[in-house]
Amino acid sequence: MLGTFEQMVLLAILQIGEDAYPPLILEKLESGMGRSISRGSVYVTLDRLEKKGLLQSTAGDPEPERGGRPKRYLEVTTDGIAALRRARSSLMTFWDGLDAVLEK
Amino acid sequence: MTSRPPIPIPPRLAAAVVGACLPKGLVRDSVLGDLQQEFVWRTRSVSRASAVAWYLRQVAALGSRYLWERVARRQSPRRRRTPPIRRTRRNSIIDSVVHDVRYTLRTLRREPGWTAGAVGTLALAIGATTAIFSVVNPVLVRPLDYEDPAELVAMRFQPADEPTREWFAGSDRQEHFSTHVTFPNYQTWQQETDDVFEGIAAYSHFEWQEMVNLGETHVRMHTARMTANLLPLLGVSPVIGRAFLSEDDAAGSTGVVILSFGVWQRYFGGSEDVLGKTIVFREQPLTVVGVMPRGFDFPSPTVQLWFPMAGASRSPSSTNYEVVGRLRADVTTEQAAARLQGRVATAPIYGIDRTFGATFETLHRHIVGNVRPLLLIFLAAVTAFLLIGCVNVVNLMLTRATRREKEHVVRAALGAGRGRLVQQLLTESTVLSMLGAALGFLLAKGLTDAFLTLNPVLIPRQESIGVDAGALGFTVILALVVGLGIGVMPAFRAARADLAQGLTEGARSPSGRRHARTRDGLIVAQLALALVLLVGSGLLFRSFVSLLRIETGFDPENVVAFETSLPNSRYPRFEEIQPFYDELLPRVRAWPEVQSAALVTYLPATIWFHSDGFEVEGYQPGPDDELTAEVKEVTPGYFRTLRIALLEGRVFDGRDDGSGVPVAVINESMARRYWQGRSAVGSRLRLGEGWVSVAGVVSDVRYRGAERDAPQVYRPYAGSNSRSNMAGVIRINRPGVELAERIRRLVASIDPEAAASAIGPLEAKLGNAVSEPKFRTMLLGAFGIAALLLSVVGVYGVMSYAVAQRTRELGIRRALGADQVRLVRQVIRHGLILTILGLGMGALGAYAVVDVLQSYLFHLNAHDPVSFVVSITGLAIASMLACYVPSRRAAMVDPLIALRAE
Repeated sequence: MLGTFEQMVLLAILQIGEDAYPPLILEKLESGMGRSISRGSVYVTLDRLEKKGLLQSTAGDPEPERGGRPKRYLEVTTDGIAALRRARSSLMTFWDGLDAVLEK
Repeated sequence: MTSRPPIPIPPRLAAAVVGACLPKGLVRDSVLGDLQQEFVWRTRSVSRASAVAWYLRQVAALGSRYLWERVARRQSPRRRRTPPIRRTRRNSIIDSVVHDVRYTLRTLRREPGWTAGAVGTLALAIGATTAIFSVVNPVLVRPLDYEDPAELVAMRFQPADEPTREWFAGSDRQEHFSTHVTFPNYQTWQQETDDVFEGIAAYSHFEWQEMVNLGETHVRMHTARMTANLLPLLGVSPVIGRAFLSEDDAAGSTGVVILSFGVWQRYFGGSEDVLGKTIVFREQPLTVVGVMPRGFDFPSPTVQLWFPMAGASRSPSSTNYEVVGRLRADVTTEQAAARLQGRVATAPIYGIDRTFGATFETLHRHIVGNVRPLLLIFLAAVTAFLLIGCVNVVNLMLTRATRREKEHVVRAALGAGRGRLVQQLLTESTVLSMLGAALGFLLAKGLTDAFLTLNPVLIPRQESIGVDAGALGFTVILALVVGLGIGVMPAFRAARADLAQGLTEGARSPSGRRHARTRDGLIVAQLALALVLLVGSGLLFRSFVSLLRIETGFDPENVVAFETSLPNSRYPRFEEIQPFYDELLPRVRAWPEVQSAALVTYLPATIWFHSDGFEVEGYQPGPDDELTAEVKEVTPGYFRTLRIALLEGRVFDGRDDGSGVPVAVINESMARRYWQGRSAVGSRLRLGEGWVSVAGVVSDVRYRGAERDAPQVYRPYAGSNSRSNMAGVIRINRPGVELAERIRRLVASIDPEAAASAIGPLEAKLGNAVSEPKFRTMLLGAFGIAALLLSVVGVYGVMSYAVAQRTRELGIRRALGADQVRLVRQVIRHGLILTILGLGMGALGAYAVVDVLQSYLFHLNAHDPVSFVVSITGLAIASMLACYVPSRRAAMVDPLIALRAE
């Protein structure tokens, strides 16, 4: 079962597309959620998702502005997509039939 | 092509810290990269300061987050629900350590006072040790910043007609070797040593500054001269432009110069256009051909300009040159020393042909050799201080262990193995020392900065001193060692706890007595160490005071001093020089605030002086009698201006204009030593080339540390073949008169190419002469006082604990009618015995080791009884006070309360 923040991270990566790397993801999340998010929690969540096999990371080319260090590009794996689907459908079952209450 | 601006680099130490917290591999690399990328962006778009602040915040947040992740993940209860992974032995140890760490943190939080005491003490001890490490490591240990620095050596030369002393390289007894040679001598050695060295190069370097004309400004700079092969030999190249070529060394070549990075930045805005520009030095136009990299500090960090050998003195009488060499790759140090042995070269030194042998020491040793003993003393002092701090914490832990004995017994009864108990206690001590180290590391930064602001001019390679990643590593290792060290004793004591007795209700602590004995032993050791430190700092302090109180023989108050520099080429001889000063002096004297003014070749209190051999008519020198005197040339009014007392005869006046009988004024010590009771006035003295008549005797003038009662000779300035550059002394009639600008203007008005500099109160210049002893005294004094405080706290802690332990016993005694005084006496006696033992051992220890300080003491024997007695008494009183307070408490024990407490 995915946590809410984990879902958001995965979705942000999908939104960004193939350029997704942590600072961009952080920016996307902050603009989407309308508040600032700790950098550490994003990194830690990325590590966790990767360990679960929902994300896959590849190293970019070393860049001088980064002290010769590569970027870590992130991509949602098929397992990740599947997990997102499951999360959405289970949420949807709870949303079902509540439109009347929630949209008053 | 426009050059790109350099990429800003985030603080390395911070990057290292966060790097250490991150998992290895792509995660670490990419996170560091992300941080740096944003750092660069922030530096460029906001400011470096704000970028650094941001970076540090990120480091703290990320570092702690990742650390927490590591600890929490292992402990996470959620994890237990995941399919069980096979628990390896390693896993369970890690889990149990994590458990112990959390347990420790909980128990420490429950006893904030105790924790603050232990952590604070450790922070002080570890912080001080790290600070000294941060000085010693870069200065003494780290290799020099040159290519293959281990191959670089500094040559030394010794007259071969003197008995051969220890010849081998690296020998400590090299003080008889001279480092300076003449240029022809260097050239001879160059041919003689190609089977030993890949090459040797010569350089010379002057302590004083000289005027340099940069076009728009005239600036005084430190300069050095080097042969063209020196930079290749060191393996250093200029950042822009070129190094010297061998053509640049040729006598008639056009002048070239290399700038230091600092000069390039400050006066030429760091622009590459500087190459090809012309500066003027000693009337010679010189073309800038290169700029050295930042931090290049050969032969000294003060050097701002380097010249090649063109225009240098190659006279066989000027021993200005020092020689560095690079050992051949196929020759070991020992082989090199062996090959040099017995080889000689003949060269004139001070005009006399002498045969010299050569040896060498490593360049590193040559640079840091002088401060090595002092730094090692600091290292020893800080180690003693660290031990004292550790002893305090061990005592605190033993006290706590006694209190927690029941807990340990219960744990053992519930099945905790000894190993498990030991592990728990070692974890506790390590956590304590890690907490202390974390604080101590911050403290070390402050202490190191304080150390540098004390301005220890004698310490070379200062630019490399700082709390860096190496210091961080050192702190971590030190914290581990200290943590395990202070934990061992309490841990094994606890592991031996006796189950059956321990669980008996109301039992007196079974191992209380054992603990007490250990604590007593530790207190004795601690007092002994503290006394050694106190005696050491006491000695330095006494020496420093006597240095300050020294009868200087003159009155520097209300005297303004300045130095002049005249362009040599236009003032080659006295005939040209004299009119300049003849105009300067009367105009200074005419100022209303000026009482008197005079000129002298070298100011007192500067390290520069001129010494010359002399002969005394009718005095037969013994074989070891070295007749040299410090010679100064002064204008009339010098003695009056500095208020140097005339003891006999007369001082110089208008008669001494160089036309009459040559005269001299000598100092009291010289008169006493060579005329032995007879009057020196009227008798004759041979100085250099000719005989002079002694006109007067004045009191000794002491400065420069002023270690000896050295002979001093004054000659009238008029008629001497004097220096063109002189120092002036002006006595003003009220303090605080600001003369600097007026002196500068006056000098420039007489000759626009002349300059006055170093204008300031003579007292301030004297202050510089005591800055070194002050530095030593303050540093060792700080250790002494801190050690005193820590040991007093230690004694107090142990004594009050002992009293608290004996509350019941004391209560019963009180109930049985023992009087208060008797009880106080009894408790104090215990403390007294410990104090006497500790101080006795400390005194013996101090007596054995203070010899190392002897060379730093001024007019004071290292076994100075006053320092010993004062230190012993001081520590004894402090220690007895520390015993008295708890003993009063013992006497006040209310028998009823004491018995109820059980």
